[in-house]
Amino acid sequence: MKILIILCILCGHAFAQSDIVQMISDTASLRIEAESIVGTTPYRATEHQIIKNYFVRIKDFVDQLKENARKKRRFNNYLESQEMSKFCSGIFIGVSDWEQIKIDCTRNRFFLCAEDVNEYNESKKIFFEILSDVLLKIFQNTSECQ
Amino acid sequence: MKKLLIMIFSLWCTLIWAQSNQEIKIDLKQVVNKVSTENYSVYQNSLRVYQAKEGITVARMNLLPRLNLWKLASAAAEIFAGGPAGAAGGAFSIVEDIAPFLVPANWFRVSQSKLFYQADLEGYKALWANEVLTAKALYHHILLDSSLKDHILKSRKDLDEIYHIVRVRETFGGLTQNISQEIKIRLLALDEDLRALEVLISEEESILAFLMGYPSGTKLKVTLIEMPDYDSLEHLVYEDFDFRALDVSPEVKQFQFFINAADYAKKEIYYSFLGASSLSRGLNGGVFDNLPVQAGLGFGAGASIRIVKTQKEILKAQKKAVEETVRRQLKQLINNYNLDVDNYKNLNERVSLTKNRLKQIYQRIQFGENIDSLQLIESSRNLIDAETALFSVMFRFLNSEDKLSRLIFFGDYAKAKEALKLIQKEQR
Repeated sequence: MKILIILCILCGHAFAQSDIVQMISDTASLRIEAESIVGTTPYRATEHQIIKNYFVRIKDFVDQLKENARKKRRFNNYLESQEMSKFCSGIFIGVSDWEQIKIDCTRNRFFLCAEDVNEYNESKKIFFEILSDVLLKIFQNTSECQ
Repeated sequence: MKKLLIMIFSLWCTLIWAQSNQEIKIDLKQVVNKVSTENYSVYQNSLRVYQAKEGITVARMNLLPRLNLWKLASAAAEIFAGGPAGAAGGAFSIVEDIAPFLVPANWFRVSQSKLFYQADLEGYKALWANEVLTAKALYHHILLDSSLKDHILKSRKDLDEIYHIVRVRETFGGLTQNISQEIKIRLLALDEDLRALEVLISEEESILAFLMGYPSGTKLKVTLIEMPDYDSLEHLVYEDFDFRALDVSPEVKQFQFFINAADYAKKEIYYSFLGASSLSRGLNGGVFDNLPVQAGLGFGAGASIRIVKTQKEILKAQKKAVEETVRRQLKQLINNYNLDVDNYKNLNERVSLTKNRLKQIYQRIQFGENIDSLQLIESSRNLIDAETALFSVMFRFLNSEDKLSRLIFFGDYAKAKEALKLIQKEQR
């Protein structure tokens, strides 16, 4: 019986971890897609959708962790075992790329991409609140996370 | 003493009169801020959003047990009287009151009320933006009409000078009598235009004051705005704006929330064997209020589900119609904008040519030449028409840019969320 309970806990833990891993890998693939179209102006509906998909995902990602304390704890545990630079370069688009996207999104004085692009910095700020103190220090000292 | 009292009273009356007739100087920034916080429709709608927000709390709190003495009494009577099902029957009859969380339909209503709140927020955004757009357009129109008025005044002054010269020449026999008469008719026509413009400006100011929430009778004075560099304006491309216009459109988003809410209405029917919800869906929930949801799973459930599915299809069709309307408006706006870009250079040239033409005629009159009166009237009219068209195009650019900003929620229109926060802060 005890073995069964331990097995159940382990399975639950593995399932929870895979949930976080899936979230990160989905975001990473959207980032790669978004980075691939930087500079391919003028943006049309397809490019706009790719950009939107990534920035909405990042926003949802931090919102989900912020609102769900258990998920947040699991995420912190998972991140402790990971290399921060690898994690950041995986999910976060570089600042220069973000700036370029914002420039490319502006035509005839009007900003024409999804509003989520402008909210990227706010999403990153929320990310600071999610991290534990130890992870936050590492995060702030990692150049890939800036 | 009596004299002093009269003096104080008359001073007080003068002050009151001065205050009531005081002009309020406004700029575009103030227009946006005042419409956001003081406009009657915007305020009403913000209260509706507040109601919808509170509706979520009501739905959530209604999941907790509630006290209904009569139902308790009837259940107790059933238990003690040992009715058909005895104690169990009595307890089950009040389950919707003592454990509403056991009724799945109540949970679906909570989810629905959250979606309706989001839909209300989008509705608020749309209304707020439309009111701001109307107020800004009025502001631009007041400026346009004031410019036209100044321009007509100037034209009238020039024509008046010519009239006096012509009169002198006619008196001394240099010119035929009919020229001064024709000029006088033109002068009278300009006076009529001026009076009509004054009334129009006053009406526009009155509507703007209403939109800004000022009491009736308030006199507004609009300040001039910085005009764009018209020579640097370029053609716009529809495809550049298409995505953003649809992506931010509150009207489209509102329908999406209704479509999402339809799924919960369907679930209510599936789980109706566990009881129906008596909670209100709120104002926006009216879309689903006529759907047949029975308290209990019956033979009509299949048809009910088909009705909900059809309702969802109706909402999808409505959403598609709104999307196409946004696209059509955008296309029309960009076409007109590009047309004005092309016409601006033409109109500029037209104004300078007609100005020269009239100047030449005036000079010929001053030198004592016999001028065809129709030629003079025609030239004067041409100049006024050309300048009016140029002014109109200049201000139409401002309005087109503003309409475009409204469609893509850019510039002042990006402040929708802040506007709502401002009102909600005041409500608290």
